[in-house]
Amino acid sequence: MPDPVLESARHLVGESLTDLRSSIEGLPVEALNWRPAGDDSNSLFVLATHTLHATRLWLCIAMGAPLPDRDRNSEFQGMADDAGDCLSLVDELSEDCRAALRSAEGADWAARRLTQGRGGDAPPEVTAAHALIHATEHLRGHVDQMSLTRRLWEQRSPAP
Amino acid sequence: MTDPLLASAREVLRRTRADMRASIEGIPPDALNWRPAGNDTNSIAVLATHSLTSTRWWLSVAVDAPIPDRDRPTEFEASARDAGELLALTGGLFEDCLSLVDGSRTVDWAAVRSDPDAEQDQQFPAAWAVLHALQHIREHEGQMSLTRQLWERRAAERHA
Repeated sequence: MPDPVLESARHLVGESLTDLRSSIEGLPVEALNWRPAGDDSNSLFVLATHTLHATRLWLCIAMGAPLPDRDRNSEFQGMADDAGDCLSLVDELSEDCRAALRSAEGADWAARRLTQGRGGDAPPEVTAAHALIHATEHLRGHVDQMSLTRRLWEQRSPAP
Repeated sequence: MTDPLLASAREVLRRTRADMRASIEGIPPDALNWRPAGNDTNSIAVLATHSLTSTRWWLSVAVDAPIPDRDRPTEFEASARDAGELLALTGGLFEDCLSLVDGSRTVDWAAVRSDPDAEQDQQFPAAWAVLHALQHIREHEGQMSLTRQLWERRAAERHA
């Protein structure tokens, strides 16, 4: 019998990754780098980069897979140079996320996992369930910020 | 042993309660009821009311508790007289949500649940319902946080 927690996460993460891609598809570089509320807010490019690196990391923690390299601070400083490159980066990181969820057919959700200092202010050790839920909710939270940011951009700059 | 999903759910709810409080506290009623990109977007008051009512509903489905009354369309018409009123509402709903994921519960995450309001019979595991509830509340908390940033920027520009 498939692991119901893992199956559910695959479905929900998959939906969120699709929505994330939709929120940047077809936008020019200027839109990808626009910060809707000034320097204290994040651009679509920053949100996409940060969200996908974080999701990949937390899914790997959840699944007990090797942890990818990550420079969290740099995720908030990036700028898109090319819209196509941005979509390619999103596709590559999204596939890594899906692959992490395919890396096993189940997990012990009570198992303790080390975060190895890569999860921002996360505790040094969490349960696999904590890591999976964090990956899922953190991704969804930022995807909907991206959706709202795109709507604000489109309102600011109506299509000709 | 405490169910790791229930423990993680409580952590997400407590963190969201703190984040939501930060989005609500100290701003006037105009800000709480402001829609950042017109009528197609939602105010902080709507997002708080809808997200918590929905989360309580989905958590009830997840843990097989009695389903609370809900009138979904009216959640999107909610308004707040002031921050205190909205914080009182959200505080009560958070308590309801936390009680649903109390550590004393035993939940079979593979148990099949259905959406009691769906026109067609939709079935999913209990695990899907709890993950959906948590990602949904984080999704709307993210929008609340961005909406407050946008309001504060708008207010600063008006006073510049």
